[in-house]
Amino acid sequence: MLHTSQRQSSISVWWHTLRTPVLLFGAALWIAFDKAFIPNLAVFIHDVTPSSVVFRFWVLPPDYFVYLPNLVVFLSYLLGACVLLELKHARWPRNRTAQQDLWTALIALAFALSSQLFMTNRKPGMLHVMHSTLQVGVLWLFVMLNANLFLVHRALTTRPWMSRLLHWTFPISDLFGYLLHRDRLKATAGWLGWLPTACVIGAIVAALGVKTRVLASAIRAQRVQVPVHETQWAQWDANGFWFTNWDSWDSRSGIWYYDDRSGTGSPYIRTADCRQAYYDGDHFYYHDRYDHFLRKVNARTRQVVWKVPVKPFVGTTEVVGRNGLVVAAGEAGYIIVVSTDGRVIGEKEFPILTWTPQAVWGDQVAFLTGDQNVHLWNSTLTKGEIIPLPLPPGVKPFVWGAPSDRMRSVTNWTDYVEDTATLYVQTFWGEIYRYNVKERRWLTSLKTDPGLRSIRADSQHQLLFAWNYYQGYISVLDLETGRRVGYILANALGRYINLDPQRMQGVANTRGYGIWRFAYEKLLAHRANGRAYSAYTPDSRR
Amino acid sequence: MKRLGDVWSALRTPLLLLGGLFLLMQSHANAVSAMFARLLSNQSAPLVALSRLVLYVPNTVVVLAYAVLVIALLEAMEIRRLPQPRSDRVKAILALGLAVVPWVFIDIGGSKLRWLPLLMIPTAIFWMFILLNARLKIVEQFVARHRWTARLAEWTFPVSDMLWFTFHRQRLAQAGWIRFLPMTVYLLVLFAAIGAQANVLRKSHRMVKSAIQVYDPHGILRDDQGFWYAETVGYDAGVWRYDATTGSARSYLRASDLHSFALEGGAFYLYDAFGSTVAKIDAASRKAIWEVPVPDACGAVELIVRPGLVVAVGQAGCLITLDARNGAKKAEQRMAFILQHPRALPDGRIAVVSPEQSALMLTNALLTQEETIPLPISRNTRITDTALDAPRSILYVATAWGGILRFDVRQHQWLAPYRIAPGIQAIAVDSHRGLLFAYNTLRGYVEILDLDFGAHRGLILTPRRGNTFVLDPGAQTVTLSAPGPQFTALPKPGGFHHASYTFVTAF
Repeated sequence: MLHTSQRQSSISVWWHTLRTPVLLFGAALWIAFDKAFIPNLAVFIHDVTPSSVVFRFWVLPPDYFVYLPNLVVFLSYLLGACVLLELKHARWPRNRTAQQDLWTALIALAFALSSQLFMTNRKPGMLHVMHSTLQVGVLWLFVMLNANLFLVHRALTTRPWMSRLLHWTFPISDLFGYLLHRDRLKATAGWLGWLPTACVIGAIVAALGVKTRVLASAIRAQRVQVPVHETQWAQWDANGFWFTNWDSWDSRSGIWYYDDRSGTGSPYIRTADCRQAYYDGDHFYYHDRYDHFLRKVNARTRQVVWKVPVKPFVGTTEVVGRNGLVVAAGEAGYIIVVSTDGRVIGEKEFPILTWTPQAVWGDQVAFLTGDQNVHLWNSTLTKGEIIPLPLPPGVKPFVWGAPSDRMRSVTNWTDYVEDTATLYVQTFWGEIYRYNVKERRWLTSLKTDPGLRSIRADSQHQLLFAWNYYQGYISVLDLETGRRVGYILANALGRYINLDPQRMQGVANTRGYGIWRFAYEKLLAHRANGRAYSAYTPDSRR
Repeated sequence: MKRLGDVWSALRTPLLLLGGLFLLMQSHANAVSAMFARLLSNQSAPLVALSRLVLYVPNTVVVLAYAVLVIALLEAMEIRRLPQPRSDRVKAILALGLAVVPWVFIDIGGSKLRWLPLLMIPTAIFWMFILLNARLKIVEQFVARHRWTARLAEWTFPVSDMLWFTFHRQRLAQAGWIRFLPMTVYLLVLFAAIGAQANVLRKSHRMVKSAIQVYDPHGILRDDQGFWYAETVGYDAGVWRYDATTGSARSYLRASDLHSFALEGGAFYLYDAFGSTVAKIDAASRKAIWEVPVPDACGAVELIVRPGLVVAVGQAGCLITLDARNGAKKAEQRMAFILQHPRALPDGRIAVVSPEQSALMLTNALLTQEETIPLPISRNTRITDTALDAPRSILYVATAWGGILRFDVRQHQWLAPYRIAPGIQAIAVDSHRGLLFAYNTLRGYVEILDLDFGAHRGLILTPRRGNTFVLDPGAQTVTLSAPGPQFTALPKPGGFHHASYTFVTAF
């Protein structure tokens, strides 16, 4: 601890002054060069962050809402706290009584609590409380550490271990208690004492600037007025779109239809836990967990054309179709391939989690497995190839539950583009792998911001939509180059995206907050102005 | 004057406690809602006595017993028979440990993290109770320095006298022997409450859980070979059949949000929330005979089947009469108030209650003759169930607050109500043996009363909070269906609990 009365050596002064900037830049460099750090951090965030960060800002007139990420509010509050603290510092450099501390604490708490008016965590029950408490707690701590409290200064004087604690925890204490740090440097470091403060405030302003840029260029999704909570799949016809309401605790779970003409949605076919179905224009193909049958149903009459029994109790089963093949993947390790006339072509069990099936080029089936691989099998499921994902070395999936579950924290979703025979595999840290099924090789990856939950490609317009779960928006990228075309904001925990390339519209499916709809025609005009991101091969990074 | 003040201070706690008890007993719609009490203390506590013996004790018993234990500890510290912790910090940590321990024996049973606040609030109250009475130096210094503390305790005496009993006794130091009165009454009330609960345990019979896996079962219909029941939620919601000969259950009909159904003349009548339809389904072939949509706005629908007619009663105030043969709509009526608990009367009419109107509504099946009879209770009193004693033509209406109203349908008059402990959730009648069963969800037992005199005849302890409660007079069996916590990874955590009531009739 540097006391103002002490004479400090010049080396010590320089060290105390420069360690914050050095640390900040050092960390940035380390992150930039360590290939596994960002993926591991992203995987960690994915598993420990219970909520996406989406926030609601209420402006007059009262029924007009602007939706912004929580992070913007949080950073704005941090900046506001810095300004208020500087003002306080200029007027009352130090509290003189415990009574003043009490008032400071109350005002700071009110300030921190007020941030919750503009933030929503969108989580049920106590998870919401815990997340909000964390946000308020961090803000409050930040203000309290920098408010030059009487009790803090007394403790620093009377308890030497407090000073030592601040020294030992300098990577955090210098940043969190930046005013305290500046005061310590004031007498000895001259103008250099302002450097850590400038760095802290500069970092906040830079982060805020990056985030507000997203808002400036985003288009907004609007909530579709249908009384459903959890949806995943959607597919369009001439007058509206079909979608799945898969919440099995909802008495109306099943396949629904949203009619554009009347602006209403209603249940159509009853199914249990049907998340992903396939609609070929005349028929639905879906799995019903009630009786464990894969069904083909006439979309007009709702009559069952055929039904095929599948292995029971294989968990949530997703169904996709393409080129006369219907593929169903049971989450607990089960794949079945059926022709559209109801003939079972192949059936196979796997000793590991399987999900996100795709019917790909050459009558093949691709899906993800819990051991960080992509599987590519022929349609009879007799011959297959296991393709490891080109993960950076050192990526460690965060294991909470069963070992077979760990893959979920790395990637959740794939999409397949038929024109180029490319399978797109999303990762949570923003890297989107591309695998050419014809040539059997990985292509250069696309890269966007960390926090992805799912992707969807529009090959007709050469667009790739990537839902950023953590940051609360959909990034729209160029399908080939990965150049950013724009953003779409939806005020909900994002899960899945479905597109109608013909009409250039899409829906964002959420868990708990229904369906959000957007039109992306405008984005095409922005394509030329988007920011280019460097594309690189996974191999080149090793 | 000081003497008078001391006497008042000493007597106000006993007066308050006894006055509160008197108010609770007299008030028909007490300000303290039974629902609130149910939220705080709705579950039994599994107290593991031996490795294989699990004894279910209501939470109230655990909490009260713990309060007595804590008071005993504090008193022992007060008279210095126990070593005193050396600092306030140690005392606070020990007190927190003491406040957390009872949760080992208490099962709130809420879903996910919902029970956390339910645990945290009583823990905080316990902790505060111990800290206030543990003679902390910081508290004593604070009280000595801030005179408003004493005034605050004075103004808030209904709470502070009990929660901060050491301070109260300190204030009464000059009052002589009378200063022990509040504490004595306080302890007596606690002992009385524990004694009453222990008495319940001692006298009650136990239920046995059957080995059927369910989420949230409702509406049990018994027959000789087993029973039908409705699984309300989950992937396989619908009508299920339990076969007693094989001891297994299987899904029979698919329906959403099915809380009640009827099986009459070889056909099921049920309301299916998926398409918001009332349906008649052939029980043998499982084919729909007819399906009639009802408006979404009707809310949860219960069905009453009369000869040739089906009456659908929507909780939001709908009454729809359908022809049982073809589903043709015969009559429809919309009320501006909630309708609950429909029952078919022996004279062919339907009885429904409206808590908002505090009225019993009697109507014929074609909804052409309607009669409204005021209930002899306050408006908005929570009515939890109704039951019919057909041979005596008496309709029983149960309130959450422990009142069982009796309406003589034949004489068209209210009879003297029966009154039992608050917390009734469901009632059922065995007319043949003259027994009335009241399931008390708050206290965790089924109380058996004499149908003619309301006299207590026995108790059956329920291990979990149930939702549907049915009798099988033939087999003299009580069955309680209990939901498990929803949104859980546990495989079907609900269950059926059975008990025989032959012990009552044998007596």
